[in-house]
Amino acid sequence: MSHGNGQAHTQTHAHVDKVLEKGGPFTDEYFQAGKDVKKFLREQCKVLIIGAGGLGCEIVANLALTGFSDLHIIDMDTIDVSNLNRQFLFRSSDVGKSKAVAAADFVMKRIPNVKVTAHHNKIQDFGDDFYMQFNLVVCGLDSVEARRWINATLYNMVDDDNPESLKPLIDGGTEGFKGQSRVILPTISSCYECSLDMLTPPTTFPICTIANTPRLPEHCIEWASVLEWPKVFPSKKLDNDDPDHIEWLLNKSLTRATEFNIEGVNWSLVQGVVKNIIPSVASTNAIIAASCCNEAFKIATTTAAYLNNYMMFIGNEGVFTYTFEHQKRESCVVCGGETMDLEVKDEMIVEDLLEILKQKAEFQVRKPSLSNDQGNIYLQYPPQLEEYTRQNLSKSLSDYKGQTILVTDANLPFKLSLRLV
Amino acid sequence: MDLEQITSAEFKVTDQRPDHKTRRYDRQLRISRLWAAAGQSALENARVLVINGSATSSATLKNLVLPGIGHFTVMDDQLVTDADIGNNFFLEPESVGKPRATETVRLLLEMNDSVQGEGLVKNPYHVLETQPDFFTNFSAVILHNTETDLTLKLSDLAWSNHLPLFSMKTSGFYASLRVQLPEQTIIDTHPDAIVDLRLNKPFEQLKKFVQSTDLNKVSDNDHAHIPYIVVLIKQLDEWKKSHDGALPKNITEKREFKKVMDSHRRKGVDEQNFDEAQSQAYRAFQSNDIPHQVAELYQDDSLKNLSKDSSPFWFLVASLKVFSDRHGVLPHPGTLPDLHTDTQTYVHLQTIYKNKAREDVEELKSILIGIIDKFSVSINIFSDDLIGAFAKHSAFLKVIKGSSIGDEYTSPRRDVISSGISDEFTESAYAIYVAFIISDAFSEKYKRQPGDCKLEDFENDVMRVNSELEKVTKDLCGKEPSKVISDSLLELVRGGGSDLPNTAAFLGGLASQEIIKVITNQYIPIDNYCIIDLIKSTTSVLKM
Amino acid sequence: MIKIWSMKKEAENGQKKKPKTSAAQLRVQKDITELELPSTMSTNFPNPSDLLNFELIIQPDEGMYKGGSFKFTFNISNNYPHEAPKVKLTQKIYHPNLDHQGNVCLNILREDWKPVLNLNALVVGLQYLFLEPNAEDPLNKDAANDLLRDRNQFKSWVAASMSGKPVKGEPYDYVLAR
Repeated sequence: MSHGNGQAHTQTHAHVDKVLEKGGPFTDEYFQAGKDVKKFLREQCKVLIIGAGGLGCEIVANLALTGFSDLHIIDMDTIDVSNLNRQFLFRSSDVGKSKAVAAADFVMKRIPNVKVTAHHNKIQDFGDDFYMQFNLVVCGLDSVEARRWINATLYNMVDDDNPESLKPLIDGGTEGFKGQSRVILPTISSCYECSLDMLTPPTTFPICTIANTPRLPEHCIEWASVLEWPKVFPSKKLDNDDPDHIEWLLNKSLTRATEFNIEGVNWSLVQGVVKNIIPSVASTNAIIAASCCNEAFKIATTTAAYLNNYMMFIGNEGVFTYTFEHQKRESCVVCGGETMDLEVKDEMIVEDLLEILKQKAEFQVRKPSLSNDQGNIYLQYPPQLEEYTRQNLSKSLSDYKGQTILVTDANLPFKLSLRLV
Repeated sequence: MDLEQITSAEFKVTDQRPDHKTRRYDRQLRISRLWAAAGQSALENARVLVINGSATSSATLKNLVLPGIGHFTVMDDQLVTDADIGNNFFLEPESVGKPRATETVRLLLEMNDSVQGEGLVKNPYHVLETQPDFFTNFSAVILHNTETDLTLKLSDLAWSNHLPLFSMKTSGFYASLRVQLPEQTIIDTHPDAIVDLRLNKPFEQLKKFVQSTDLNKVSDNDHAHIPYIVVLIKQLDEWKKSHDGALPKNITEKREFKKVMDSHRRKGVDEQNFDEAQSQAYRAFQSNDIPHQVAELYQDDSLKNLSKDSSPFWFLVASLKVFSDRHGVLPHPGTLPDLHTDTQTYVHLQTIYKNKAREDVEELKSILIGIIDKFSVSINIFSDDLIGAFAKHSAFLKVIKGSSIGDEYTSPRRDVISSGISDEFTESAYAIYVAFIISDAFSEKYKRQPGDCKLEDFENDVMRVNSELEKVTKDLCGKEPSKVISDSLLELVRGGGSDLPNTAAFLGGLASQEIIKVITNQYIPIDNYCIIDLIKSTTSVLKM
Repeated sequence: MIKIWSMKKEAENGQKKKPKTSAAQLRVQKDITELELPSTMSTNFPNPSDLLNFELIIQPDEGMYKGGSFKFTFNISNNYPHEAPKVKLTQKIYHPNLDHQGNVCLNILREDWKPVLNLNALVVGLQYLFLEPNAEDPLNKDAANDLLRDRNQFKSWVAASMSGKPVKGEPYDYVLAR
């Protein structure tokens, strides 16, 4: 069972080889069947998997079977008993262990010659150098915040002088029998942030309803968690994972529900409301993860066209998929707005830059505010911040040479990225 | 005071914490949003049979073992090869040379202690000849890439024994799932929301409640807390009086209705209930008559031919018909969406709807008793929970009349195929369907999948399928093969009957989802053919 | 990857490695610098380089709360604008739409928050609470009932409470502008 040359190798990959040894009618012209593409897939391509939960477990197993041999997986969580109904790389004896480590160990034990490196970390623990080493990133997350972070990070890493700095981001998500997978090519396609307005913000209830006119069991639970907890325990943070805390909330909300003749408060609902638990099942995760890994395979090998760029899946009434191209948004915080080089002279100061911007007819900029990754450079408003940043106006622009400055202004769709040269 | 003290001193309630099993299955039991306790118990009592221990079969079983299916059997007489361990996660290097059936079962069972499984190292043809009854002891039969004659024999057997059968096929980036169901009658279809406000036909207690509120005589504060339901019913009442009992019909009338309603707002008061009345006004324009799909059920032959052997579902539909003939409406579901009002009013209104639902269920039950009495059927097979659930979902009942794979084989739906292939939106899916049929014909002849050969023989296989292309296309579609059809066929042959890990995982996910729907008899399964195209990343449902 | 890399070569758009500013940060920069605060409102940044945590001071120049100075804290998470900012009043006041813990009943702070809204919308909403206290959907029910029962009485209690006097035995913070 060696992955070297020879018979065993060819046989193990017999299924996948069908589509690597020859192109098909829908294969891109860039595809080169045979040795090289196999070598790239099985020896060179490095893939990062973010999340080792319901989707992540499926993703790491699929990618390993597909033939990727250098995988990394990041997850900061540990295994809970409620994960076992779908996170199939974990056993009862793993409860409490790191998800990333358990998933990596399992896959390496099951599939020969695949190396899975586990990172029991937050994605924010790593910088550009870490992310730069991968060819592809596949995300199976349930957090909007983490997705926004990795999306912005990969977008900002793109450098035209280095095509390999473009890391396709393949993102999957599920909720009950629904899910979606999408392919994001930073700077080329629409990005995750472009679709932020499409998301439903987390469910919340009017605070006055919670306080005075509860009608649903959820109102009673939010009363206990939002209003009562901070009142009774002003210095203790509510821990959604602590059963003692959940029990306290349950008892409080039950008392309130009884007082108002409201039915339906129970442990499961309390936990669901405070942890914002999303129902989840193995089959949907399998479908979405398979779709994501299939896109990773197609992108890595060019054996067939990849998804452009969004697939919605709905499985409760028959099966329905809607595949479409989600459009870039000009006002997107991450990828919207123009990027340009601006030539500046060494004797110029920040104040001169403001003047140059205002005189550029194409932007119609009136009151530009400036920042870079070090923080704010100049803010027009409110007065306190204007005063605080005013000292920077006399700074020499040579200090910022080679850097990118982000400009915001009411007249810009969102921002303008200026690189001073 | 610390947490312990507060918890124990004020409200100590014990034994509320969920047990281990509830915690394990928490995400799928959640608030009846997935399949809840009844579905879970159906799943735990189910036994499924899978023919072939392939990657797709394992991927399907994985998603049945994890949520806790009762028992599964894998029948396969082949030994594990290198190619098998390369695409099947439930095989390991040490499995090579051992029976595929027992090896996949062994590794699948590791995932869930409460599931039982058995690997049968037997040839399905042989079992079919020697003990055909074996196949009828299951809740569902699942096939993957079985040869056409075996598929036909097993599907005939399943069809005549009223067993659901799922036939899966894969080749490269293409896959298909054929669902052959005996008549499937579904009560809990999980509609997005069950809302029946009876605005147009308020029942007695609701009418009384509405009449007890005088929009003009209450204080500003009370006025802002009148449930929008009351506002709408009053407004509708007034409207009907001046319009010969008719509902607002066109846009102009609907706009007029909303305008008059808004004139009842109190000045200078922020009235969210009136905002709700505006946004929910469309509900007042709907009649509360019997929905079209329920009226259709009343015409079903199963109802006309009701006998003591009829299923409980059809006795319930018979009772529902009597109920709706009597009242002109369906039983009330007893639900009330959240709306802007004070707690007391909300709970009061909720109780009015709940009581009505309870009354309706009682009436439905007494009608049912009258009907089954004539057929000497016992009421014991109708639990109160069943009657209650039936009444609650009566507007969303679903009946699927299956069709057999045998019929599809002997007399294909030429009308459906030729119109599907002529529509640019569905052409691609039907082309893949036709390609699978040509591929089946090839494998019947050569006892292997087209393209499942050495690279140098590939062109030869392509020639062989292409020689069938024109004849089959003309027969099924009534026209010459288009480029889309010939390309789809070529892509299918390129796949060579392979089971790519991602295609297997996708199809396995989809098939297990449909199997769970059928076993739990919840949600609406595919009726009856799904084409999966993982190049375009789409799925399409065809009815064959 | 060949296809993707070739696409990148074709689609050069002056892209260079960009600074690592979070989307939330940048959005807040835009929101804050484009605030349109009337003379009755001002902001204070305890740490001027941290735009995610600041105070908003409202000093109504009309209505029952005229003369008061109300200090709110804004706490913006890195998931802004997917999540609304957390806003609390730092003083204990007598008001139908604010409770004694400083919670604020304003729909766009919770159930009606959308990413297309911005800080300016919240600031306008908060200001409105002092001009038109809403008794129909109160957070402090006692205060709301007082307002419904006798507007003049309520007005005088507001005035008393703002100068730190107790109302119906309940102590309040002194909030008059200095």
